[in-house]
Amino acid sequence: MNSPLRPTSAGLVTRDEITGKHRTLEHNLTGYKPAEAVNALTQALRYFDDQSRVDREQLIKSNQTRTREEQATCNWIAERYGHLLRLSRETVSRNFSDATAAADTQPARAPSAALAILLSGHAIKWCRYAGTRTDPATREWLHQIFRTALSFSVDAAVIPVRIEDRMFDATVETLYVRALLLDRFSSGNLSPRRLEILDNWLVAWMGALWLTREPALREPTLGINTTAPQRGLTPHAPGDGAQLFLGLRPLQRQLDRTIREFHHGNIFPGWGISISVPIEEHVAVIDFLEREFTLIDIANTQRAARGKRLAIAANSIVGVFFGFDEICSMAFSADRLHSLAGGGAELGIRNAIHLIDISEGGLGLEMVTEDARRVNVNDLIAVRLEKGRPCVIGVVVRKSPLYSPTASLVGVRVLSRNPLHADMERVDESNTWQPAKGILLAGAASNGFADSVLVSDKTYVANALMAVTLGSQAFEFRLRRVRQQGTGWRMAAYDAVVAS
Amino acid sequence: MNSKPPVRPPSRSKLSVFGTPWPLEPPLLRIRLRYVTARFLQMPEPRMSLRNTDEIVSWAQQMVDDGLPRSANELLRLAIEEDPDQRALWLFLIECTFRDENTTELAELVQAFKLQFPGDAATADAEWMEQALARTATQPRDADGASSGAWRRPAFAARDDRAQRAMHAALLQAVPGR
Repeated sequence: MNSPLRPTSAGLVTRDEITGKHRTLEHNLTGYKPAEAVNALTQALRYFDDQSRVDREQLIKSNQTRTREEQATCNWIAERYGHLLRLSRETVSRNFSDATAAADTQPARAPSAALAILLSGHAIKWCRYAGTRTDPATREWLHQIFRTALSFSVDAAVIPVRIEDRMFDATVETLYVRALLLDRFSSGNLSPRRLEILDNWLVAWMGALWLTREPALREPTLGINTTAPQRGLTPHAPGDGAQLFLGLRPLQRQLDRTIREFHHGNIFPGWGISISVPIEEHVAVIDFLEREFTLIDIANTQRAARGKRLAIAANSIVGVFFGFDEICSMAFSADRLHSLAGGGAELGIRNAIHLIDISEGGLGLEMVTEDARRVNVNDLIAVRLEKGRPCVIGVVVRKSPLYSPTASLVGVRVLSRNPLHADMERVDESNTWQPAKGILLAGAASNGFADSVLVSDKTYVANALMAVTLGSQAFEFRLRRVRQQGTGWRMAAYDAVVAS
Repeated sequence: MNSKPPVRPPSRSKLSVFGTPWPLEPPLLRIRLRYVTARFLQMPEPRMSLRNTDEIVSWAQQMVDDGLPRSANELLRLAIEEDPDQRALWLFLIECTFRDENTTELAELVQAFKLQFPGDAATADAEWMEQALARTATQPRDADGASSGAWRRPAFAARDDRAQRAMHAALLQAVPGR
């Protein structure tokens, strides 16, 4: 593709010209002194940021369904950030390679590490936008660069960094935290627009997020094992090998600060591409972070309660069932419990579905694009991740193209990992009990008021009386407010009224 | 139900009852209201809804039930900022903050409550919660905090705590592989 980028103050520049500049830079880089190489790369990043800003802005503001041209632009931007990242890693190696290097090299150590880590964050984010997998080496390099900066004591040096036309005082450590948080949160189901908002917030929060060498006492904490390339920021549990820690409370305080700004009538942080995005999108990021923080908060309790969890191989085939009726009739069937095949027959899905991504609150499925067209956002979905285990119930929250034109990513937010399908009865208009299907979802609260019931939209009537038998006990309950809904299904709160 | 007029005159103060900036300029106020509408979908007209104490109590309780205590806290604060005379909301907010074990915020809240309602009978309970969190309480009380009779949590009709708890326990037992 060689379509021109939009005109800027620098004139009309084509993608090939920019790619060519980067290749030339790569070729010349070895001839530069290490400190000069850092400057040259910083200039190249600044130039690329300026030239691509209009396209980046348009991509981020575009709807969830992209045109082929938009997808090509997205892929190209992700590739460019990836290329600059590779070059910056090499300069880090050169700047730190000799501890007794010349005096003129030493001042460039912190900027070179900061630049590489900044670009790691950009690359993680844009791989996500493009729907491609982040290079597995990215996180390994990220840890390695930070370890190196730590060992040379340049992790806390304050460096001016340019992000979105603005200069910030940052340190290698704060940029490392930003990259790790982007890595963690981008594995969920955030759309590009929301991920961009989150990144703007993380940049504004950077100065207040510090790593510690000891976990916070009696507080949920995220841990980093810098020697484990497969792991980023994960809820800390004793014995997990983490050497560095990030408390959840400082993150929550920053979110509170952000919310207060909206109360005061300001769109936080007041700059960046996300400032012109509708407020609803900002609110969705607040909702997302609150859910994520809750998951981190309860991670240790859940870990203790659920016992050993089987590892799920990347790219594994999973059984997926779509829609309330198919889920009720097939997902809980004993015949299918020991199989990962099947599902989707009612929608006409023909090809196997792969699990490509999973986090505590969501998962990503790779589907053949033709099949994915039959799936819609807000569809109810059940996924059997492991043979012999109950299905996970979730809701489709996004669809986007993947690296191959025939593959699509379907993002799912998990509603429950332990659903219970039960035969129920509902009192109808003529005051008689009628059979009804339902799925009970246990909530986290021990008082039971966080529990929900999934019913078809035909079954749901506000305040209708229903009955179910659990074990040897019969219960009656009233359907209350709808917590979530989609085509053909409602997830409602309920109040138990009789236990016998 | 509230008998107050639906919308009070615009505040002349530049600070809310919590001492935070209050947006007086129309563009800022518009962003605040748009934010509240987007954040709390049940309130298409936030300035009216935030003054309806019964509705706010009900929604805040539902948020606590839905595992969203921070949202409940935010909603209660917004409503109190809109009309600080809603005493039931202060009590609810103080109790939520106590349960969340947020010592600093509780101390600030109790102080603001005392300023808003001087000599209120519930002050003793609020102070006990503050001391209990600070581990300086000398008088043992009920684990739920209040016991003086002045503390009146809003009642919720048609809620049977025992039945709900029993159904939750039965549900957990019935889930296969749990």
